[in-house]
Amino acid sequence: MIFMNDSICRQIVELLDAYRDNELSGSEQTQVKNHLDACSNCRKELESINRLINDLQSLPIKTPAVDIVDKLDLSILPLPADNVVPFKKRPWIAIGAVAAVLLIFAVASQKQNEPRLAVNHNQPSPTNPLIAENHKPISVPPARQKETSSPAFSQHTVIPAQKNLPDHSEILVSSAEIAYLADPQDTSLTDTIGIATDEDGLYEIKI
Amino acid sequence: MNPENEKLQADLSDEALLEKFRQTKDPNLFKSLVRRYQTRVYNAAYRILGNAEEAEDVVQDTCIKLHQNINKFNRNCTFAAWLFRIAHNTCLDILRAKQRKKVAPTITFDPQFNSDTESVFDTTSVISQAADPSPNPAEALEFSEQNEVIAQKLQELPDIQRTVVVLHDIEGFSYQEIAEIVGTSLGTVRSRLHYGRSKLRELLDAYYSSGPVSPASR
Repeated sequence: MIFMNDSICRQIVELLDAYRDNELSGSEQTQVKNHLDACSNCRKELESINRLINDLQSLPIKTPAVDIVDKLDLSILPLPADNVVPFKKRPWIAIGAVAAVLLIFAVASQKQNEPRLAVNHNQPSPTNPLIAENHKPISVPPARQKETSSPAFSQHTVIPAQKNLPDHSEILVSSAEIAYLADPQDTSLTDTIGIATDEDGLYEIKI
Repeated sequence: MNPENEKLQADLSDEALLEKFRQTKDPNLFKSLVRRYQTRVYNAAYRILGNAEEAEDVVQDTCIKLHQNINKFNRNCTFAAWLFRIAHNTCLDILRAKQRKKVAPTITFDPQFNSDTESVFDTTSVISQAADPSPNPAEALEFSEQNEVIAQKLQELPDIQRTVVVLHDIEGFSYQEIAEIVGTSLGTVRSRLHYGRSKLRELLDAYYSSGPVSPASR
Protein backbone atom coordinates (compact mmCIF):
# COMPACT_ATOMS: atom_id res chain seq x y z
CA MET A 1 0.00 0.00 0.00
CA ILE A 2 1.33 3.39 -0.90
CA PHE A 3 1.54 5.97 1.83
CA MET A 4 -0.01 9.21 0.65
CA ASN A 5 0.36 12.60 2.18
CA ASP A 6 -1.22 14.45 -0.60
CA SER A 7 -4.91 14.98 0.07
CA ILE A 8 -5.63 15.03 -3.67
CA CYS A 9 -4.08 11.58 -3.99
CA ARG A 10 -6.26 10.34 -1.15
CA GLN A 11 -9.37 11.62 -2.92
CA ILE A 12 -8.25 10.08 -6.20
CA VAL A 13 -7.52 6.70 -4.60
CA GLU A 14 -11.09 6.67 -3.26
CA LEU A 15 -12.26 6.95 -6.87
CA LEU A 16 -9.78 4.57 -8.47
CA ASP A 17 -11.93 1.45 -8.17
CA ALA A 18 -14.91 3.11 -9.80
CA TYR A 19 -12.59 4.68 -12.40
CA ARG A 20 -11.19 1.27 -13.27
CA ASP A 21 -14.76 -0.06 -13.59
CA ASN A 22 -15.91 2.88 -15.74
CA GLU A 23 -18.52 3.71 -13.15
CA LEU A 24 -17.65 7.38 -12.67
CA SER A 25 -19.39 10.32 -14.23
CA GLY A 26 -17.72 11.87 -17.27
CA SER A 27 -16.14 14.77 -15.37
CA GLU A 28 -14.87 12.53 -12.55
CA GLN A 29 -13.43 10.09 -15.06
CA THR A 30 -11.51 12.93 -16.75
CA GLN A 31 -10.32 14.32 -13.41
CA VAL A 32 -8.91 10.93 -12.34
CA LYS A 33 -7.34 10.32 -15.72
CA ASN A 34 -5.57 13.71 -15.65
CA HIS A 35 -4.28 13.01 -12.16
CA LEU A 36 -3.03 9.56 -13.11
CA ASP A 37 -1.06 11.04 -15.99
CA ALA A 38 0.90 13.11 -13.50
CA CYS A 39 1.06 10.87 -10.39
CA SER A 40 3.09 7.67 -10.39
CA ASN A 41 1.96 6.65 -6.90
CA CYS A 42 -1.67 6.62 -7.92
CA ARG A 43 -0.78 4.73 -11.09
CA LYS A 44 0.82 2.06 -8.90
CA GLU A 45 -2.36 1.90 -6.84
CA LEU A 46 -4.35 1.37 -10.00
CA GLU A 47 -1.96 -1.37 -11.11
CA SER A 48 -2.43 -3.05 -7.74
CA ILE A 49 -6.22 -2.93 -8.16
CA ASN A 50 -5.93 -4.35 -11.66
CA ARG A 51 -3.72 -7.16 -10.41
CA LEU A 52 -6.17 -8.08 -7.68
CA ILE A 53 -9.07 -8.17 -10.11
CA ASN A 54 -7.09 -10.33 -12.53
CA ASP A 55 -6.34 -12.71 -9.68
CA LEU A 56 -9.98 -12.86 -8.64
CA GLN A 57 -11.05 -13.51 -12.21
CA SER A 58 -8.50 -16.27 -12.53
CA LEU A 59 -10.07 -18.24 -9.67
CA PRO A 60 -11.43 -21.50 -11.06
CA ILE A 61 -15.16 -21.55 -11.67
CA LYS A 62 -16.73 -23.93 -9.21
CA THR A 63 -19.42 -26.19 -10.60
CA PRO A 64 -21.90 -28.30 -8.66
CA ALA A 65 -21.06 -32.00 -8.47
CA VAL A 66 -24.44 -32.87 -9.94
CA ASP A 67 -26.95 -31.15 -12.16
CA ILE A 68 -29.10 -29.65 -9.40
CA VAL A 69 -31.81 -28.48 -11.78
CA ASP A 70 -32.14 -32.01 -13.16
CA LYS A 71 -32.62 -33.34 -9.66
CA LEU A 72 -35.54 -30.99 -9.07
CA ASP A 73 -38.93 -32.62 -9.33
CA LEU A 74 -41.03 -29.72 -10.55
CA SER A 75 -44.23 -31.74 -10.27
CA ILE A 76 -44.03 -31.62 -6.46
CA LEU A 77 -43.16 -27.94 -6.34
CA PRO A 78 -45.97 -25.53 -5.54
CA LEU A 79 -47.38 -23.97 -8.67
CA PRO A 80 -46.38 -20.42 -9.51
CA ALA A 81 -48.56 -18.14 -7.45
CA ASP A 82 -50.99 -17.09 -10.21
CA ASN A 83 -53.93 -16.14 -8.05
CA VAL A 84 -52.10 -14.43 -5.29
CA VAL A 85 -53.31 -10.85 -5.03
CA PRO A 86 -51.23 -8.57 -2.83
CA PHE A 87 -52.87 -7.71 0.48
CA LYS A 88 -52.90 -4.03 -0.38
CA LYS A 89 -55.13 -4.73 -3.37
CA ARG A 90 -57.80 -6.24 -1.10
CA PRO A 91 -58.38 -3.52 1.50
CA TRP A 92 -61.51 -5.14 2.97
CA ILE A 93 -59.53 -8.20 4.01
CA ALA A 94 -57.00 -6.00 5.74
CA ILE A 95 -59.72 -3.95 7.47
CA GLY A 96 -61.52 -7.13 8.54
CA ALA A 97 -58.32 -8.61 9.94
CA VAL A 98 -57.56 -5.47 11.94
CA ALA A 99 -61.13 -5.35 13.26
CA ALA A 100 -60.91 -9.02 14.31
CA VAL A 101 -57.66 -8.42 16.17
CA LEU A 102 -59.11 -5.39 17.97
CA LEU A 103 -62.21 -7.38 18.94
CA ILE A 104 -60.08 -10.20 20.37
CA PHE A 105 -58.09 -7.67 22.41
CA ALA A 106 -61.25 -5.99 23.67
CA VAL A 107 -62.78 -9.32 24.78
CA ALA A 108 -59.52 -10.46 26.37
CA SER A 109 -59.06 -7.25 28.35
CA GLN A 110 -62.70 -7.34 29.52
CA LYS A 111 -62.19 -10.91 30.76
CA GLN A 112 -59.13 -9.82 32.69
CA ASN A 113 -61.00 -7.04 34.48
CA GLU A 114 -63.84 -9.29 35.71
CA PRO A 115 -63.60 -10.19 39.44
CA ARG A 116 -62.45 -13.76 39.96
CA LEU A 117 -64.75 -15.51 42.42
CA ALA A 118 -64.23 -19.08 43.43
CA VAL A 119 -67.55 -19.42 45.21
CA ASN A 120 -70.93 -18.56 43.85
CA HIS A 121 -73.00 -16.77 46.49
CA ASN A 122 -76.24 -18.26 45.31
CA GLN A 123 -75.08 -21.88 45.26
CA PRO A 124 -74.64 -23.94 48.41
CA SER A 125 -71.14 -25.30 48.93
CA PRO A 126 -70.99 -28.83 50.28
CA THR A 127 -67.35 -28.48 51.31
CA ASN A 128 -67.59 -25.29 53.24
CA PRO A 129 -69.82 -25.15 56.25
CA LEU A 130 -69.54 -21.39 56.35
CA ILE A 131 -71.41 -21.01 53.13
CA ALA A 132 -74.36 -23.11 53.90
CA GLU A 133 -77.67 -23.27 52.23
CA ASN A 134 -79.84 -20.23 52.80
CA HIS A 135 -76.83 -18.37 54.01
CA LYS A 136 -77.13 -14.64 53.46
CA PRO A 137 -73.76 -12.94 53.42
CA ILE A 138 -73.57 -9.45 54.76
CA SER A 139 -73.15 -6.96 52.01
CA VAL A 140 -70.42 -4.44 52.72
CA PRO A 141 -69.23 -1.75 50.32
CA PRO A 142 -65.61 -2.39 49.27
CA ALA A 143 -64.45 0.95 50.66
CA ARG A 144 -65.36 -0.14 54.20
CA GLN A 145 -63.91 -3.59 53.89
CA LYS A 146 -60.69 -2.99 55.85
CA GLU A 147 -62.49 -1.21 58.66
CA THR A 148 -65.06 -3.99 59.00
CA SER A 149 -62.64 -6.86 58.98
CA SER A 150 -59.92 -5.45 61.23
CA PRO A 151 -61.48 -6.46 64.58
CA ALA A 152 -61.45 -10.07 63.48
CA PHE A 153 -57.71 -10.07 62.89
CA SER A 154 -56.95 -9.26 66.49
CA GLN A 155 -58.79 -12.36 67.67
CA HIS A 156 -57.22 -14.94 65.37
CA THR A 157 -53.75 -16.23 64.61
CA VAL A 158 -52.91 -15.07 61.14
CA ILE A 159 -50.87 -17.41 58.97
CA PRO A 160 -49.64 -16.69 55.46
CA ALA A 161 -51.95 -17.96 52.77
CA GLN A 162 -50.48 -20.60 50.49
CA LYS A 163 -51.14 -20.79 46.80
CA ASN A 164 -52.48 -23.74 44.81
CA LEU A 165 -53.35 -25.96 47.70
CA PRO A 166 -55.79 -28.64 46.64
CA ASP A 167 -57.39 -28.53 50.06
CA HIS A 168 -61.10 -27.75 49.68
CA SER A 169 -61.07 -25.80 52.90
CA GLU A 170 -59.09 -23.10 51.14
CA ILE A 171 -61.38 -20.87 49.18
CA LEU A 172 -61.44 -17.57 47.50
CA VAL A 173 -64.20 -15.33 48.69
CA SER A 174 -65.37 -11.85 48.00
CA SER A 175 -65.57 -8.99 50.44
CA ALA A 176 -69.05 -10.17 51.47
CA GLU A 177 -67.75 -13.42 52.95
CA ILE A 178 -64.89 -11.61 54.64
CA ALA A 179 -67.36 -9.47 56.46
CA TYR A 180 -69.32 -12.57 57.42
CA LEU A 181 -66.26 -14.43 58.70
CA ALA A 182 -65.01 -11.43 60.53
CA ASP A 183 -68.12 -11.17 62.57
CA PRO A 184 -66.77 -11.23 66.17
CA GLN A 185 -70.01 -12.82 67.37
CA ASP A 186 -69.42 -15.92 65.33
CA THR A 187 -65.94 -17.34 65.99
CA SER A 188 -66.96 -20.92 66.68
CA LEU A 189 -66.23 -22.25 63.26
CA THR A 190 -62.83 -20.71 62.62
CA ASP A 191 -59.54 -21.24 64.35
CA THR A 192 -57.03 -19.52 62.16
CA ILE A 193 -57.53 -17.25 59.28
CA GLY A 194 -54.86 -16.27 56.80
CA ILE A 195 -55.58 -13.34 54.58
CA ALA A 196 -53.70 -12.16 51.57
CA THR A 197 -54.47 -10.08 48.58
CA ASP A 198 -53.71 -11.02 45.03
CA GLU A 199 -53.19 -8.70 42.07
CA ASP A 200 -56.92 -8.35 41.50
CA GLY A 201 -57.53 -7.20 45.08
CA LEU A 202 -59.35 -10.40 46.04
CA TYR A 203 -58.99 -11.93 49.45
CA GLU A 204 -57.90 -15.44 50.21
CA ILE A 205 -58.80 -16.89 53.54
CA LYS A 206 -57.53 -20.12 55.01
CA ILE A 207 -59.70 -21.72 57.58
CA MET B 1 -36.61 -32.57 -25.98
CA ASN B 2 -35.66 -32.63 -29.62
CA PRO B 3 -32.52 -30.77 -30.79
CA GLU B 4 -34.56 -28.31 -32.82
CA ASN B 5 -36.48 -27.17 -29.77
CA GLU B 6 -33.26 -26.92 -27.80
CA LYS B 7 -31.75 -24.66 -30.43
CA LEU B 8 -34.90 -22.56 -30.48
CA GLN B 9 -34.74 -22.15 -26.71
CA ALA B 10 -31.04 -21.32 -26.80
CA ASP B 11 -31.78 -18.43 -29.14
CA LEU B 12 -34.41 -16.95 -26.84
CA SER B 13 -33.51 -14.27 -24.33
CA ASP B 14 -34.02 -14.99 -20.64
CA GLU B 15 -37.08 -12.81 -20.52
CA ALA B 16 -38.61 -14.39 -23.64
CA LEU B 17 -37.99 -17.87 -22.28
CA LEU B 18 -39.54 -16.88 -18.98
CA GLU B 19 -42.58 -15.47 -20.76
CA LYS B 20 -42.95 -18.69 -22.73
CA PHE B 21 -42.80 -20.72 -19.54
CA ARG B 22 -45.45 -18.52 -17.95
CA GLN B 23 -47.74 -19.23 -20.86
CA THR B 24 -47.11 -22.93 -21.38
CA LYS B 25 -46.05 -24.03 -17.86
CA ASP B 26 -43.71 -26.44 -19.60
CA PRO B 27 -41.20 -27.60 -16.94
CA ASN B 28 -38.50 -28.09 -19.58
CA LEU B 29 -38.57 -24.38 -20.34
CA PHE B 30 -38.12 -23.59 -16.68
CA LYS B 31 -35.23 -26.01 -16.40
CA SER B 32 -33.58 -24.56 -19.51
CA LEU B 33 -33.87 -21.09 -18.02
CA VAL B 34 -32.40 -22.08 -14.67
CA ARG B 35 -29.68 -24.22 -16.21
CA ARG B 36 -28.31 -21.10 -17.88
CA TYR B 37 -27.49 -19.69 -14.45
CA GLN B 38 -26.98 -22.79 -12.37
CA THR B 39 -23.17 -22.68 -12.47
CA ARG B 40 -22.97 -18.93 -11.99
CA VAL B 41 -25.27 -19.00 -8.97
CA TYR B 42 -23.36 -21.97 -7.55
CA ASN B 43 -19.98 -20.32 -8.11
CA ALA B 44 -21.07 -17.02 -6.54
CA ALA B 45 -22.66 -18.79 -3.57
CA TYR B 46 -19.53 -20.90 -3.10
CA ARG B 47 -17.30 -17.82 -3.11
CA ILE B 48 -19.61 -15.95 -0.74
CA LEU B 49 -20.19 -18.84 1.68
CA GLY B 50 -16.95 -20.78 1.19
CA ASN B 51 -18.83 -24.07 1.39
CA ALA B 52 -19.83 -26.46 -1.40
CA GLU B 53 -22.81 -28.07 0.33
CA GLU B 54 -24.28 -24.72 1.28
CA ALA B 55 -23.73 -23.46 -2.26
CA GLU B 56 -25.71 -26.46 -3.56
CA ASP B 57 -28.48 -25.65 -1.10
CA VAL B 58 -28.52 -22.09 -2.38
CA VAL B 59 -28.96 -23.24 -5.99
CA GLN B 60 -31.74 -25.63 -5.01
CA ASP B 61 -33.58 -23.10 -2.82
CA THR B 62 -33.18 -20.43 -5.48
CA CYS B 63 -34.79 -22.75 -8.07
CA ILE B 64 -37.72 -23.43 -5.79
CA LYS B 65 -38.23 -19.76 -4.90
CA LEU B 66 -37.91 -18.79 -8.53
CA HIS B 67 -40.54 -21.31 -9.56
CA GLN B 68 -42.89 -20.11 -6.84
CA ASN B 69 -42.46 -16.43 -7.63
CA ILE B 70 -41.94 -16.50 -11.37
CA ASN B 71 -45.07 -14.46 -11.96
CA LYS B 72 -43.75 -11.67 -9.78
CA PHE B 73 -40.91 -10.88 -12.15
CA ASN B 74 -41.31 -7.51 -13.79
CA ARG B 75 -38.97 -5.90 -16.23
CA ASN B 76 -37.63 -3.30 -13.81
CA CYS B 77 -34.36 -5.21 -13.80
CA THR B 78 -32.76 -7.98 -15.80
CA PHE B 79 -33.75 -11.58 -15.15
CA ALA B 80 -30.16 -12.34 -14.08
CA ALA B 81 -30.20 -9.58 -11.46
CA TRP B 82 -33.58 -10.77 -10.19
CA LEU B 83 -32.40 -14.38 -9.98
CA PHE B 84 -29.21 -13.35 -8.17
CA ARG B 85 -31.27 -11.27 -5.79
CA ILE B 86 -33.14 -14.42 -4.77
CA ALA B 87 -29.84 -16.31 -4.49
CA HIS B 88 -28.27 -13.47 -2.49
CA ASN B 89 -31.16 -13.47 -0.02
CA THR B 90 -30.75 -17.22 0.39
CA CYS B 91 -27.03 -16.73 1.06
CA LEU B 92 -27.88 -14.07 3.64
CA ASP B 93 -30.17 -16.50 5.45
CA ILE B 94 -27.33 -19.01 5.67
CA LEU B 95 -24.82 -16.38 6.81
CA ARG B 96 -27.20 -15.17 9.50
CA ALA B 97 -27.81 -18.72 10.69
CA LYS B 98 -24.02 -19.20 10.87
CA GLN B 99 -23.65 -16.01 12.88
CA ARG B 100 -26.22 -17.23 15.37
CA LYS B 101 -24.55 -20.53 16.06
CA LYS B 102 -20.99 -19.29 16.06
CA VAL B 103 -19.12 -21.19 18.74
CA ALA B 104 -15.56 -21.29 19.99
CA PRO B 105 -13.28 -22.97 17.45
CA THR B 106 -12.74 -26.66 18.04
CA ILE B 107 -10.31 -28.97 16.32
CA THR B 108 -11.65 -32.19 14.90
CA PHE B 109 -9.65 -35.02 13.49
CA ASP B 110 -11.18 -36.28 10.30
CA PRO B 111 -8.89 -38.17 7.89
CA GLN B 112 -11.73 -38.44 5.37
CA PHE B 113 -12.08 -34.66 5.22
CA ASN B 114 -12.69 -33.33 1.76
CA SER B 115 -11.80 -29.66 1.43
CA ASP B 116 -14.16 -29.32 -1.51
CA THR B 117 -17.22 -30.09 0.55
CA GLU B 118 -16.30 -28.31 3.75
CA SER B 119 -16.06 -24.70 4.70
CA VAL B 120 -12.66 -23.10 4.31
CA PHE B 121 -13.17 -20.89 7.32
CA ASP B 122 -15.82 -22.63 9.29
CA THR B 123 -16.07 -22.39 13.04
CA THR B 124 -14.68 -25.89 13.19
CA SER B 125 -11.12 -26.39 12.01
CA VAL B 126 -10.45 -29.82 10.69
CA ILE B 127 -7.08 -31.51 10.57
CA SER B 128 -7.44 -32.98 7.15
CA GLN B 129 -5.71 -35.87 5.51
CA ALA B 130 -3.42 -36.31 8.50
CA ALA B 131 -2.15 -39.61 7.16
CA ASP B 132 -1.09 -38.08 3.84
CA PRO B 133 -0.34 -34.34 4.05
CA SER B 134 0.17 -33.82 0.31
CA PRO B 135 -2.85 -32.62 -1.70
CA ASN B 136 -4.43 -35.14 -4.01
CA PRO B 137 -3.43 -34.75 -7.66
CA ALA B 138 -6.83 -33.54 -8.79
CA GLU B 139 -6.82 -30.75 -6.21
CA ALA B 140 -3.27 -29.78 -7.07
CA LEU B 141 -4.27 -29.56 -10.70
CA GLU B 142 -7.36 -27.49 -10.00
CA PHE B 143 -5.98 -25.06 -7.52
CA SER B 144 -2.69 -23.32 -7.62
CA GLU B 145 -1.47 -22.15 -4.25
CA GLN B 146 -2.13 -18.59 -5.30
CA ASN B 147 -5.77 -19.36 -5.98
CA GLU B 148 -6.10 -21.05 -2.64
CA VAL B 149 -4.60 -18.08 -0.82
CA ILE B 150 -6.86 -15.64 -2.67
CA ALA B 151 -9.92 -17.77 -1.97
CA GLN B 152 -8.99 -17.97 1.70
CA LYS B 153 -8.33 -14.25 2.05
CA LEU B 154 -11.61 -13.53 0.29
CA GLN B 155 -13.35 -15.37 3.11
CA GLU B 156 -11.75 -13.00 5.62
CA LEU B 157 -13.60 -9.99 4.22
CA PRO B 158 -16.78 -8.84 5.94
CA ASP B 159 -19.82 -10.56 4.36
CA ILE B 160 -21.22 -7.40 2.77
CA GLN B 161 -17.90 -6.47 1.14
CA ARG B 162 -17.18 -10.02 0.00
CA THR B 163 -20.62 -10.25 -1.63
CA VAL B 164 -20.05 -7.09 -3.66
CA VAL B 165 -16.52 -8.13 -4.66
CA VAL B 166 -17.78 -11.56 -5.79
CA LEU B 167 -20.71 -10.12 -7.71
CA HIS B 168 -18.58 -7.53 -9.49
CA ASP B 169 -15.12 -8.98 -9.92
CA ILE B 170 -16.05 -12.63 -10.33
CA GLU B 171 -19.59 -12.58 -11.72
CA GLY B 172 -19.20 -9.36 -13.70
CA PHE B 173 -22.33 -7.51 -12.62
CA SER B 174 -22.45 -3.74 -13.01
CA TYR B 175 -22.78 -1.43 -10.01
CA GLN B 176 -26.43 -0.80 -10.89
CA GLU B 177 -27.20 -4.52 -11.07
CA ILE B 178 -25.41 -5.15 -7.76
CA ALA B 179 -27.44 -2.35 -6.15
CA GLU B 180 -30.59 -4.18 -7.32
CA ILE B 181 -29.35 -7.58 -6.18
CA VAL B 182 -28.19 -6.45 -2.76
CA GLY B 183 -30.98 -3.91 -2.33
CA THR B 184 -28.83 -0.88 -1.64
CA SER B 185 -27.76 2.37 -3.29
CA LEU B 186 -25.20 2.82 -6.02
CA GLY B 187 -22.99 4.82 -3.67
CA THR B 188 -23.01 2.02 -1.10
CA VAL B 189 -22.01 -0.50 -3.75
CA ARG B 190 -19.13 1.73 -4.84
CA SER B 191 -17.99 2.21 -1.26
CA ARG B 192 -18.25 -1.50 -0.34
CA LEU B 193 -16.32 -2.47 -3.43
CA HIS B 194 -13.59 0.08 -2.73
CA TYR B 195 -13.14 -0.97 0.91
CA GLY B 196 -13.48 -4.65 0.08
CA ARG B 197 -10.74 -4.50 -2.54
CA SER B 198 -8.51 -2.34 -0.33
CA LYS B 199 -8.85 -4.81 2.53
CA LEU B 200 -8.22 -7.76 0.25
CA ARG B 201 -5.10 -6.11 -1.15
CA GLU B 202 -3.91 -5.50 2.40
CA LEU B 203 -4.52 -9.14 3.29
CA LEU B 204 -2.69 -10.30 0.19
CA ASP B 205 0.17 -7.83 0.56
CA ALA B 206 2.34 -10.21 2.55
CA TYR B 207 1.73 -12.96 0.02
CA TYR B 208 2.45 -10.73 -2.96
CA SER B 209 5.60 -9.26 -1.39
CA SER B 210 7.05 -12.69 -0.60
CA GLY B 211 6.23 -13.86 -4.11
CA PRO B 212 3.95 -16.77 -5.03
CA VAL B 213 5.17 -20.19 -3.96
CA SER B 214 4.82 -22.99 -6.42
CA PRO B 215 2.50 -25.85 -5.41
CA ALA B 216 5.42 -28.29 -5.74
CA SER B 217 7.30 -26.64 -2.89
CA ARG B 218 4.62 -27.55 -0.33
